[in-house]
Parts: sequence; structure tokens; C-alpha cells
Amino acid sequence: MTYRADRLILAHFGVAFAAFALAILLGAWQMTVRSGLEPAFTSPEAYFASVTAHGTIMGYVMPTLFIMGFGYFVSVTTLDRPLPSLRLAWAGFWLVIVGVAMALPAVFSGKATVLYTFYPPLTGSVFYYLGLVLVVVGSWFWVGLMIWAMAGWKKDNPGKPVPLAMYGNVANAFLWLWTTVGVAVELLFQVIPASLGWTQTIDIGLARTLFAWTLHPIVYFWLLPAYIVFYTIAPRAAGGRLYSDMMGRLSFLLLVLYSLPVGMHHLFMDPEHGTGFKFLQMMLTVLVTVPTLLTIFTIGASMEIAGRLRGGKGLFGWIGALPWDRPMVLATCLSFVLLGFGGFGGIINMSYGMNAMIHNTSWVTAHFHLIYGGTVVIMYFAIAYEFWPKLVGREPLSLKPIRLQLWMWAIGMVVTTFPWHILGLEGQPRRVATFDYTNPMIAHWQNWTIVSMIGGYILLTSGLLFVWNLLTLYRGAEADRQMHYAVAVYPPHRVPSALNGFDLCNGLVLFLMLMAYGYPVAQFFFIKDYPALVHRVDLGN
Amino acid sequence: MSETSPLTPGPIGSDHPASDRSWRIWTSVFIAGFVLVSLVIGFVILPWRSESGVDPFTAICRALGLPGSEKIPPDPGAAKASAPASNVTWTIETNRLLSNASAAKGTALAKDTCGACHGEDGKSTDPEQFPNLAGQSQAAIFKELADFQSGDRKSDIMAPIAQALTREQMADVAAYYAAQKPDDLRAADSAVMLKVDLLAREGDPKRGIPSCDSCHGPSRSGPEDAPLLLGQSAPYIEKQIGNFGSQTRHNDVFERMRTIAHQLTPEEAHALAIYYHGMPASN
Repeated sequence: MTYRADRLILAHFGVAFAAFALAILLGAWQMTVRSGLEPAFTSPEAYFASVTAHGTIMGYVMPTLFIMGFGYFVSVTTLDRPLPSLRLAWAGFWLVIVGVAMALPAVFSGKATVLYTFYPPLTGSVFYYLGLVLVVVGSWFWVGLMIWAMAGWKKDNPGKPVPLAMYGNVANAFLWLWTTVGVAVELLFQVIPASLGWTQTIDIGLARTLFAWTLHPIVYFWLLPAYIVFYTIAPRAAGGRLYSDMMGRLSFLLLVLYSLPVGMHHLFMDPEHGTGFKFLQMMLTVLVTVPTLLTIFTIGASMEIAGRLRGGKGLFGWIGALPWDRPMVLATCLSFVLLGFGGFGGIINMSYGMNAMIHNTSWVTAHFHLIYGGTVVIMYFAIAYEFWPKLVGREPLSLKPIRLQLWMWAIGMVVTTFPWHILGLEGQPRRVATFDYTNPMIAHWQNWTIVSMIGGYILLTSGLLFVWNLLTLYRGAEADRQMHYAVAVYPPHRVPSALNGFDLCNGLVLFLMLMAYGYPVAQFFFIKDYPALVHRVDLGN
Repeated sequence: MSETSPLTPGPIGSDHPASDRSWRIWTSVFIAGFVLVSLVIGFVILPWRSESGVDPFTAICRALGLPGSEKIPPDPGAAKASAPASNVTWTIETNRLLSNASAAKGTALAKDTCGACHGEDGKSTDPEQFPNLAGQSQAAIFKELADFQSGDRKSDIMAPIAQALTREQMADVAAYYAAQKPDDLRAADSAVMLKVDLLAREGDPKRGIPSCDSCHGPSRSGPEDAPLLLGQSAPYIEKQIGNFGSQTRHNDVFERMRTIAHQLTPEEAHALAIYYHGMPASN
């Protein structure tokens, strides 16, 4: 590995995790408000401003910056060549930073209390939306660089398979490009004109459709780095080999295909679409389970190889033989377990009929926190523990606080989100600041809310310990800066062009998006509908 | 993978164009087939089987979100609503009129005409008869003035005054009073029974009565024209609830208040009036 981009990657990770620390602090505070234990803290205005900030950071700022840094790292280390343009990479970074500097003050001053999902006709300060547009545009620089880097490598290495981690990385770049189209159109053509006072009405049906276009695949954008690491780092960390390189490529390809045309399952209860399209998108959502199950099988098999190489015997003996003291192995296992619970909840959500039971309840909040926090972020921790020593050339002082941090995070996630599932089944609505627990009908909700608040503080402690662990790294011994990826049992020498590039993938995505969203978006231009009046939260009307 | 390991070449894949082509074809066939099956189930089979009493064409159109050949039955409320409760509609024009209004322009009118009863600062000279206007929502004041003008709300005193005003003047004077500072009050929850407090804050789902606060409370999350109630005199509020209940007053859009007031007992109306009369916030 001759080429490096350490400062660039550290800058992305550093800002991502600083913002993350702020957002978990807000999260714990929000749970305190909802618990009703400290009525003095209870102000709906502050609560919703805080939820907006928490969602904006966790949804747009932290993962975007992290994934950009992750992508640069993977690109440089797997292709063993410099980034096509370091200058453009820095330009993208600074655009994101300027965007964050525009958006967050608007949120914290209460001028953009619209939650990170926007909810037009609520309309906040234009700086909030413009800031987010800059974040997205900055990330598009990254998309361009990743595609460019892979194209350059393929040109110089004709017929060779793109390294699996890089293939997954570019899959994520294309996924992100497709994903952001919906929200970009919504912001640029609907919300920003309203926030500037140019338009007095907004077509909510169209806005919600465009946002659903983005809101589901964005989760897979967050998730893909975790999947890339499952395939390309976890097997090596366990001391084994990747069971199948081909399965990894197939999973990444299928994730891009099946995560995009599915967002309408967020709109099952909305009136603006016919039942047929909701059904179609539900069917496509079901397919997303395929790459997930492929991954669980392949990584399970890879871990079994590692366990047996380490002397594990019998049907389950290999599990005990795995090196559980290594953070990457532990995190992968915890991530899988929480993915199981989160995925189970997700299957309820995406079922057209069953969704009605839990729509807009705390169940949904529980589901996406389990997937995001339990599956994605825990792997971001593991990635940081893996990459940071390579970036700064230092070994961790001890693995103990690292393992403690990962365990606390997983336990905190369970303690926080399991009560939300229960409360959701009992009908507790989401997006509500406070409840009147003196009302006997809902008095018993308070106990579960307090349990989840305790979970919130466990998560906060774990998050702060994570930052501490990264900081203490700088006092560690000199480390090997060479990055090693997992080798497949049968390293690929040739792969079909469909699994070595994205032409077919993008063509199929185009087809699926046209089928899933073509008519549902087009109908707003010929069906008579009634736009809503814009409500300006920043002007108080 | 940065380091390729010279292990046995795997049997997977090939650079053979034929293999690439079959990958392309079979992936596309599978996906197109899956979409086709989903479309047939979602747009034909399910609508056909589950929508009883409509022809298949209409059932399929409904799955698309179109009415099809089906005749949409007329809205039963439409005939009754031939005489609207109010002529005020919350269109963009109305909203623009209100947001362009000027409290400064409304000042003279308020002092010359309205102030004699409602007070120059919006604190009524006789709150039992004339409501306080200080801090009242601009939309609510505007709507009542427009209803007095059109006769949708009856008042021998207000009708001639409102008839002399232009829509701009109504919007201006409404903006003036909305900008006046009301007394610092809170709901008199300690003066009423708990169930009345609950009625105000949560409503009574068994009788289909929504919470008063959901429209008339500080968040005013209901229709634009709902006025704030806190700080009006108790006899005034009680009288208005009575008027809605007896249909004497009927400028409530969709009969919202008539439906609710009709179900309130006289005791509840009385207690709610005391509740919203309020008490000093510092108490």
C-alpha cells in the first residue's frame, strides 16, 4: 500500500463522530423528556427542535461523512492507487461542512423544527434546506470520485475482478446517487421555493412520494459499509477466509436493485396512491430479504471456516473457538443478532396488512433504531477500531474497553428499543413530546418509557466511551499501517461483467424505478388534487 | 484483495462473452418476471376478488387510484351545505390578505370605532357582552367580522359596523388586535372538576367530543378560524356555547361547534366557561 489519504479520511471520520456524540446526547435528553420524570425539562418546542437535530445528524451528517471517509479508505487500500483527485475530495468535504454549518444553527435556533423527514407543508428556514442540499452535493463529489477510481483501475487492469470491497463501495455510490434523486427534487422544486416565500402551496402527495423514494434506500446506503465489512474484513479478523466472493458481489448488486423501488411501504396508510402500486412495492420490499439471507449464510459459513481452522469441532464447537476477544468478531455477531430483531420488526412494517397495526407508533421508531443503531452504527464502531490504528499508526492500549463499549451499545439498544416495540403495539404514537401519565388509560406506559430512557443513557455512556477509546489510541504503541482484507476460499480470477461493473445494475434499477414510481409520480401532473397551504414554522404561522 | 493470493483458480465466472450474456438475460428475465407477477396480483387478481359490487374494469382502475367507470355517489353533505355556514374560505388569497395586513393601518379604526366596546388595547369595556380581542388570533377576528358583514353571524350592533368595512380594513384591524398584549392568564383548572379539565384537554371520545384545546388551545392546531378562548369572560363563553347548542349561532364551518355544544350538559358548558375565563398565571 503505497498511497494514502489519511488526513482526508480522518477529517471525515472526526467530524462524523463529533456530530454523533452531540446527537446521542440529544437522544438521551429526548428520552428524559418523554419519560415525564422531569416535567421542568418538558417543552414541546425544545423537544421537537432536538428531534430535528438528532435526526438530521444521525440521518444525513454522520453516516454521509462516515461513508465518504470509508469509501476513500477502501478505494486507496484495495486499488493501491491514489484517489483520482484529492482536491475534489477535499472540496466535497468542505461543501458538507459548510452545509452542516448552515443547517444546524437553523435547527438549534428553532427556525427549522420540521423533523429530519421535513413533513411539508411545515416549512422552516431556507438555511436548513440549503445546508442539506450542500451536504448531498458534497457527497456527490464522493460518488463521482469512487466511480472514477474504479473506472481508472479497470482500464489499467482489463478483465480482472474489481476487489470485492471496492465493488461494494461503488455499489453504494450508485445506490446513493439513485437514492438522493427523490429528496433533491423535493427540496429543490417544492420545499425550498416554499421556504423562500415564492410559493404559497405545496403538493403534499408528491412531496411525500419523493421523500419515500429516498427514505428507504437511504437506510441501505448506511447499511452497505457494514455489509462490505462482513464480507471483506470480518472473516479475516476471525482468522479464516471468505466463503464466497461471488456471493458478496451478488448481495451488493441485489441490495442496490431491491432497496430502491420500495419506499412506498412508508405510505401504506396514505391516500394518494392506488393499492396496486403499494402492493407492487411491498412485493419488491420482500426481495430485500434475499441479499440479507445470502449474507447471513455466507458470513456464517466464513465464520465456521475460521472456527474450524482454530480447532473448533462438532456441530457448534466452532462458535466457541472463534476469537471473541477481537472487536470485529464481536461486533459482527452483535450486529447480526440485532439485525435479526430489527429485520423481524421490519417484515411486519412492510406487510401491507400488518403495517396498519403499528403504523405511526413507537414500534416504527424501535425498528429503525434497531437497524440503524444495532446493525449499522455498531459496525461503524468496529470499522473505526479497525481503520483508526491504520490511519494514525497506533495500537489500542487495551481491547477491554473496546469490547465493553460494543457490549454496552448492543445492550443499550435492546433496553431502549424493546420497550418501544411493546408500547407501539399498545398504540403509543411516535413523534409526540410528552404524555399525560396521570391519565389511567396510559399510566402504565410510563414504566416502559423509563426503561427505554435507561437504555438511552447506556447508549450515551457507550457512545462517549467510544470517543474515549479513539482518543486513547493516540497514546498506544506504533502499529502496522498496512490494511489487509479477507481472502476468499477461491479468490476470483474472472467474474461475469454483470458482477464486475454496474451497467446492467443501473439499467435494471431504471426499469424497476419506472415500474414502481413512474405512474405514481406522473399522476400528480394530471389528476386534480388539492395542494396544501405552506406553514412557515420559522415565521410562526 | 489488495494482495491476490496465488491459490487454485476458482471455477467461478469467466470472461467469456456468452457467460456474460446469459447473466444479463437471466437476471433481467427474473426481475421482469417478478414485477409482472406482482402487477398481475396487485392490479388484477386482488382487486377483482376483494372489491365486491364493481365491475372488473373499475376494480383495476381503483388499484391504479382512478375512479374508472364508476359513478361517484354525490357527497351526502353537499346538498345540506348549499347554504355555507360562512363565506370565509382559507384560500391562498385570504391568507395573503391576512399576511399583508398592517396593524398600524388598523390602529385608527380600532381607536375610532372598535375601542368603545372592545377597548383600544383589546381589553373589553364590558367583557360579558363584548369579547376581549387582545392577542386573539388574526384569522379568527377577520372571520367573525366577515361573517357579521355577510350575515352568517347575527348581531344588531356588529352588522352595520362590519358592513362599512372593506376586507383589507378587516384584515388590518384584526392584525392590530392580534398584536395587543393580553392579560397573563392560565386555565382555571383548580376551579373546576377534574373531568372538565380532561374534557378541555383530552375531550370525551365516547361522545365523539374532541378536546377543546386541540382547536382553541395555545397551539391552535385546528382550523384557522378557531379563536383562543383563554381570557374571555365566563358568561360570554357560556352564552356562545348555548347559542351554538340551540343553533342560534351557526357560522361554524362543518357544524363543528354546533355538534359539540349540542352534546354538552349545561353544567359542563358552565364549568368550561369558568375554566377558560382563566386565572392569573402567577397564581
